[in-house]
Amino acid sequence: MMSKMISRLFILLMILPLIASTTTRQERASQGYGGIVLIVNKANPIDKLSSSKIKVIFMRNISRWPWGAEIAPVDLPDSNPARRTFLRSLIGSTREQMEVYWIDQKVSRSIDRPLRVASPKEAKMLVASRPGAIAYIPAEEVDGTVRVLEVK
Amino acid sequence: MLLLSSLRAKVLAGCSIAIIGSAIGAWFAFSRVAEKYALSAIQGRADALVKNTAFVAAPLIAFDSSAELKKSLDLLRADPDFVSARVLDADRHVLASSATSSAVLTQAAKVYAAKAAVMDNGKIWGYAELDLSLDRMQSSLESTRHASLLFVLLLAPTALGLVYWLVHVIVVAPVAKLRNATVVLGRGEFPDPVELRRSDEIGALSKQFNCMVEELKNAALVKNLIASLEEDPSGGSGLARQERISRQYEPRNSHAYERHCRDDGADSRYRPQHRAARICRVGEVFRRAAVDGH
Repeated sequence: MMSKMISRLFILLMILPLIASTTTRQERASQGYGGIVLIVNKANPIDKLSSSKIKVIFMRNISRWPWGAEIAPVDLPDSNPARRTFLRSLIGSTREQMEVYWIDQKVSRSIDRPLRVASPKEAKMLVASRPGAIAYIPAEEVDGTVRVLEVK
Repeated sequence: MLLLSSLRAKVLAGCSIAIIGSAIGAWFAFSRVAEKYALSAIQGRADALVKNTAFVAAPLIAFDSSAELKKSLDLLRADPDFVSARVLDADRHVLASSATSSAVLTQAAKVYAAKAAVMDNGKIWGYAELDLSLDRMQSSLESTRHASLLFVLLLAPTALGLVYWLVHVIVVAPVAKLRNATVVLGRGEFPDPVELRRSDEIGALSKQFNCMVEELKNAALVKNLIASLEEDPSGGSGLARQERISRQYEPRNSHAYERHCRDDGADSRYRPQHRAARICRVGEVFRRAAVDGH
């Protein structure tokens, strides 16, 4: 009896770190940076992106995914706190700097700013409907219609 | 120079020089045009391939997909002239490359190198480079050159033969006819009219020759008549003799003139009004002879 309990405890001790690490990864993915996560369409084969790649995507320096679909970054309104967090933590810029950047891009390269939606819910719907779309939303808004990207 | 003593040889020699010169010139021009066309075709293909590669490479560079980059470069091997291809980053470091075997590389003496910047949304992500061998194009051009040279070598004798025949028909044969007639005339005989139904210079010459022969015949006839009159002064009154001469002389000569000496570029001396005046002068001679005889 005692030996059975010891063996169960041993197994539990062996499994516990694995469970803990999985939970940590999921939490990190779900909580992301400052409580926001990056979501993509479920058809998107990419699992993780570095913050530099996220910046490239949202600065619209690249227009296509490696698998060919057009990248459609989705932005939230200025009033949404998730946007401020996203700009600060992942883009490394402020709202004012981004405004200047987009004016410059429009004038010099005719590149429009990312599509802006009214709420995280709309962003989620858009991402779910477009294979190349990518958006950031608060972690608590995530559901099964989209897939969360891991940020390296 | 003895070989060029005949008209046929002269024309043939001139035409030979012209035809062979033109053929060689045309062959050189064709070779140059074919080379230019083939080179522009391979350049266009290389440029299109490298641009397509650059288009595909942009997101692959952006997302660090080196394996995919290599695959996209390996697809270029399907081109029969492919030698090598590379994708470099913005700092000119090679990210992926693909090349044919070294044996082929050493054989490829001449390559066309196409380059294109890998750009997306105005940002330069890197550069794509592609080398296509020109060996296949050059061997194809070489065979085309040989075929065209063979064609020219076959065409030139054919053209020369045609020129020979044309020179014979248009120039040599009629001139020979005229020469033979002249030889007959030179012997003191009157040759048959040289019948050349042509409206060119040689046709006009033959008509003039026939007129000349007719005139000589008339002159001889008049001379004979005068001689016969002088031998036989009792041939009637002066006017009657003039009429007799005119009867013998006029129908024949007017017919001959109408037949041969119509005004088609002929000398003005042979025009009808001059001819009538001369007949009148002949009549005057007879009139005087008749009066003297009478």
